[in-house]
Amino acid sequence: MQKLSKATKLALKNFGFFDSLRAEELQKLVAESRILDCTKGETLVTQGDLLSQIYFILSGSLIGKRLSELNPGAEAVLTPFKFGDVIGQEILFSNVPYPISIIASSNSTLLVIKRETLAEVAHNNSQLMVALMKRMATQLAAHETNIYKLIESSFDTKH
Amino acid sequence: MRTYFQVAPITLSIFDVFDGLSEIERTSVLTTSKLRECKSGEVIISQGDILSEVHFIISGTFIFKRRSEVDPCVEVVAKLCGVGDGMGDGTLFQDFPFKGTIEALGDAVVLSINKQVLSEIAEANSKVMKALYLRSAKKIIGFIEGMDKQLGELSKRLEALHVDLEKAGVPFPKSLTKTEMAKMLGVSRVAVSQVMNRAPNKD
Repeated sequence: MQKLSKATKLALKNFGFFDSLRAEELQKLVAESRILDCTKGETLVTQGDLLSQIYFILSGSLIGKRLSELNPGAEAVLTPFKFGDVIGQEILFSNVPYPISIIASSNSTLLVIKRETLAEVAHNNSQLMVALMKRMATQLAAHETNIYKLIESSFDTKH
Repeated sequence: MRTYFQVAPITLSIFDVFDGLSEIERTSVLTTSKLRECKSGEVIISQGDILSEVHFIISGTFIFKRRSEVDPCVEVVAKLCGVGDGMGDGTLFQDFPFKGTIEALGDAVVLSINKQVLSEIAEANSKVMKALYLRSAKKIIGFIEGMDKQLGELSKRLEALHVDLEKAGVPFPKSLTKTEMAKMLGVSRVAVSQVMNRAPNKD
């Protein structure tokens, strides 16, 4: 148990997001965190799940899949998640169903933090919030680029 | 031609972002922001701009247009923004070039606030930060859900091509590469690949 806490603490420190944490905040997160190993092909999150945890990728890679609600059975593969990416940060403050499924595309290790605890710590630590906002802005830009490419590709550019 | 007005305190109450402001922060916002009246067709943000201001819509509607990077002649309307929506708030802590052009669809009024001022207030006030966070999160989820519609449209066009080729006696899709299909449909190979990958297998 103590070994796990040490590993978690190290993971938190290595992640960069958590540089600004005070000792008591770090302690609080460590108490509510764990390291999770995922094997290739394992489903981490299923679309529509209410997430009680936020995932920080320490190694490996995962893919996001969106099952179509308009065409049942069809699915779109989204941008892969890799080291440094965060899964679930969109629902940190709003417990809505998660819009995609997440599947490990290689053996991966993740730092798992209880959503409510992270929300509480982030709410009281503006530097952590800025780090999360920056990450989310990057993610928003990536999604925007993807959907615009998709919209553009729906138009006949030959005429 | 733009007209600027001083912001009345009550204006801020329209937006959740300003709900938790202290008196000092409220004064700071009021003195650094302005109301901007936009005429129909006026461009408030251009694609590629690095924003120095964030805009919140008080009245009217704006269209979000995107010019293709592959073919500059192609411009698509990606979405509409209405009262309460923020424009540029997703880039608050990052200086990305803006992804599209935002144009007033009719006469409209926006509250424009200096990005640096809003960033500083957000850093100092967790309620403001949380409201901005929730807005960005909602946009991300909206984009993911919006993919369905776009992929669905492309799916329909691929199915129509399937029918046309069958009528012409050409087997589909074995004899055509994705690149060939993309050329026939006037779309990108990646888009065809995405639709083909998600379509149920058909013999």
